[in-house]
Amino acid sequence: MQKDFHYYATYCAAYLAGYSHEESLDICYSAQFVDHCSKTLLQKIKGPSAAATTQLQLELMEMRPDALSLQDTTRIWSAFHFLPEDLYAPSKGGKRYRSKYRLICGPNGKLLARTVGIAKGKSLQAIGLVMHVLADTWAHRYFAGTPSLVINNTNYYFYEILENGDSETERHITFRHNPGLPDDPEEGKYTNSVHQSNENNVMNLGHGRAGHLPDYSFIKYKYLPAWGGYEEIIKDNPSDYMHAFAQMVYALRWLRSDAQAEEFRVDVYDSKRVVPHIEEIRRILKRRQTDASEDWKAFAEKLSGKTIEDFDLAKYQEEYKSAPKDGKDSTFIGRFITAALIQKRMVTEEISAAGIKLAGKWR
Amino acid sequence: MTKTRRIVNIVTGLFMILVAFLLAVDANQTYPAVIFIFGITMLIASIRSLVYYISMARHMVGGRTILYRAIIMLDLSLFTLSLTDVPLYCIVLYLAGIHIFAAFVDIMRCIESMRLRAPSWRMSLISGVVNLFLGVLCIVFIENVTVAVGIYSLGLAYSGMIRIIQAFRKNKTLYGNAPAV
Repeated sequence: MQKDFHYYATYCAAYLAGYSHEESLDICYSAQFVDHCSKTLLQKIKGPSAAATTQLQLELMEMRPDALSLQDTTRIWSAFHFLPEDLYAPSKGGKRYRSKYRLICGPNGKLLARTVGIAKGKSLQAIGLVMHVLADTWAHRYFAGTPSLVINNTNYYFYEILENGDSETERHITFRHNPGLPDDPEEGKYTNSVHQSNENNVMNLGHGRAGHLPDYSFIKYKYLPAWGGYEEIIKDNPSDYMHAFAQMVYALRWLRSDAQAEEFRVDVYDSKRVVPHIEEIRRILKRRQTDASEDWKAFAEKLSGKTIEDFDLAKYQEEYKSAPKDGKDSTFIGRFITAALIQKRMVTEEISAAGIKLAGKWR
Repeated sequence: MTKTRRIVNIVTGLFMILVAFLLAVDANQTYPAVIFIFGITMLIASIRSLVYYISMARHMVGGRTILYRAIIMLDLSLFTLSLTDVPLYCIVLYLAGIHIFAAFVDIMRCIESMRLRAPSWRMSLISGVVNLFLGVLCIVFIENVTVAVGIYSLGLAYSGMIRIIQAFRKNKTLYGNAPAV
């Protein structure tokens, strides 16, 4: 997912869930900040590198191919962008294969319930961060947040499913490897990462081999996942994104409620608050465009009647940099860092407890 | 870095420095050693690919290509080890390619760091310029055996030293003070 969903759509979900305009802005800013809080940025503002929630492309290219670097990468991508669906899923193969297979991301897993649960009673920054993780479980499902050829690879079998009145037609998707070329939905040409036969090459991280297709809400496609034993998967993004949105509204309402006893339940969607706007949301999700920010922004402004400022990466950096050492934790970025460390620790410990060494042990 | 990996890195680094020294002493006599190293490297890679196929890739869609590649590589490595002469320019071009690619990555990294105003841009720039210089040097002296082998030796010794330094480097703390939940 991209800024259109993590920032603007998250604002809409927060507002529908009952948060004020200002609170919704803080939540959606934090949700989007997950895609920017790299080690490079943290070094620049003199924050702890351990709190990185993403890696820049060139950070990944610089990564040393040793076990500790791979663990660092797995901790980041599994905790924030590819939350594993089932760390104890039955699988073919030996332990090495099984460890990677069990990191495949998917919605409504036990880890998602824990992720939302630990944000209860925490800062708006923690809530925004959790919304990023939740939304990505839908967009990034079927891929793992660790470099793996045997899990994340794709091949030539890739078709877009186009609606044609009441029927559907298929069109082959062509992948290119030039990151300078923009994706072309009209011609069905997209950019993906280069095939690398090295299991742990960063090109095999997450959905790189499927390009940005999982990030576009309009597209429905079918392909053969490397782990699927030649059984095709149909990825219906408009439906998945709708589920993500409705689940975010439910999760945000749950986080806002005072009911301490009630557990967060997976596979629950707040249709009551979404249905009145469902046609407008569906129209935005299905529109063939690689960035739906303008549409989501217009919807958000219609909902709250307030102007939604564009995402500004520099907005809170000076506040963090200039804060005294003992006051950094109470700044906007300081609260985000605390939330990031808690989430990363929880996911690392869960992965480790499942006997998977790919994320290391939290020390 | 694990303890085993540290030991492997130190031994490999020392071996690389030794080979670089021998090459620099007498380029023409020790040149077959370069070919031998290439052959052995390829042989090890092919065996690793076979193990990878058996443990992982046989469960993957299209995984059999890994098996075919491993067999072809094994065949090529044995062929390389049986060779007595390989055109020097092939090796020099290979070296030039590596240095120029590394320079490209460093400069891209430098631009990104500058955009983010991160202090690491200077190191990236220096590394990029040095790599570019070595790459160009390889191409300019493509027909001069002594200079080409000299560059190769320098690169080899440098890589060996980096391996040893990395082996002694403390692991960077990548964990923070997060409360348990």
